Amino acid sequence: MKPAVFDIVRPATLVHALALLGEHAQEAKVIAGGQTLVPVMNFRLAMPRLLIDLNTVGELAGIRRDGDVLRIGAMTRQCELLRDPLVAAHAPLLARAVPHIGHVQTRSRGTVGGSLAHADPAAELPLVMVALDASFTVRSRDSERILPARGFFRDALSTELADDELLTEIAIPVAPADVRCSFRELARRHGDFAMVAVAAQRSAGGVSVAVGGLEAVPRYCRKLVDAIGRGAFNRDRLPELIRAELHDCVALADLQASTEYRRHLAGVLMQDCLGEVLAS
Amino acid sequence: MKLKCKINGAAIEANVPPRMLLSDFIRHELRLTGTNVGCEMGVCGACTVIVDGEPMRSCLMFAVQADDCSIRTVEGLAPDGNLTALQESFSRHHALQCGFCTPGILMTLEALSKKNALPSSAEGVREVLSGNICRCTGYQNIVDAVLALPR
Repeated sequence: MKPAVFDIVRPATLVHALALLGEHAQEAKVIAGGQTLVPVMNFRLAMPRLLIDLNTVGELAGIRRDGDVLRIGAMTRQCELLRDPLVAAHAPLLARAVPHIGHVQTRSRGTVGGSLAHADPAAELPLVMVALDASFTVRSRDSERILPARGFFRDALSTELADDELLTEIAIPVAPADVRCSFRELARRHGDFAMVAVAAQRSAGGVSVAVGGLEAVPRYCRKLVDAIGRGAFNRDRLPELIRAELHDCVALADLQASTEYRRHLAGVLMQDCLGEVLAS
Repeated sequence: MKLKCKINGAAIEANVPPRMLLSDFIRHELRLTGTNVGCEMGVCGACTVIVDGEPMRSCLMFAVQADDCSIRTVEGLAPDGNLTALQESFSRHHALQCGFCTPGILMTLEALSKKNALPSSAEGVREVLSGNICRCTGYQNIVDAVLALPR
């Protein structure tokens, strides 16, 4: 269980990293925290010829408030999300989700951007970004574009990122003062990827609910959100609305949970989360 | 590739191939075999060391990525043979049996202790140690050893 031979470059600036990626897009792999990539390389499931290491690109890390958005550099370590008071104050749903990501030792190296670009269907960060309607800055040597989180994830482990593009920054709308949020997940052991996870938040501006682990990409529950948003919403109707939301869902199945069980779990966790944020 | 780092306070310079894992560098090149390697896939936690103050899995880092870093391994806890309070407490509470997982657990707790972030509830201790697998103790004595420490 040792990785195959490769070369590694450790650029000091984003410009250099993007130039390297533009030049070697075919054979290179970008390494952020490496908490998924290194085991995959140890098993030789991935054998990149060249690693472009972002750990030396200091400008990609950091959290700051910029008007009505919170900007998080892609190389910000997951543990920083728990320590930074800006996250607790302006993105409380994100702060709630972080303790569920891996373990102390993986959060201290794993990055926000790495998890998003990897796009595991059951990962917490993609789910939260979909729930929070975050947007991602994506750069290549010659271009820059902003992509909404809700359109970023294409399929399991697949995103809108092109071979020569790098996710550089995440922008999250600052939560209103009256926000209430809830994050719940069910995993066999603490720190495992969730079988199903639900993130919800509510303020005077509206409700947002998303489910992860259920399908190949996080599901933003638009139908349900619209139904709750309409004037005469009665909380007793929640089970019926959740059933309607999940009606067409074909959930993932694996050794841990069947399609039916996942969908059932999703309904239960959605009910719990919404119960928490809608409670008067 | 050139690598310059500090291990337990000592300056190290080495030439390593990029594919060498930090865990293998520590064990095979530096002969610091207190850091154990269990799964090499980031699950068991036996290889946990402290990199620039943070507990990390040394099997999930390449040695070259430790360039300019300061690393602490279990050997650095008691260089003069005097056990730390944490080690004393593990001894007193019989918090280990085979001891394979112990270095990783000690380094995880040491990093938290330095940040004054040791949990004070049994549930909290179990949560921070969820990334360190122990197959002997059932964790109870480990939890007891941590809870007995002064906060």
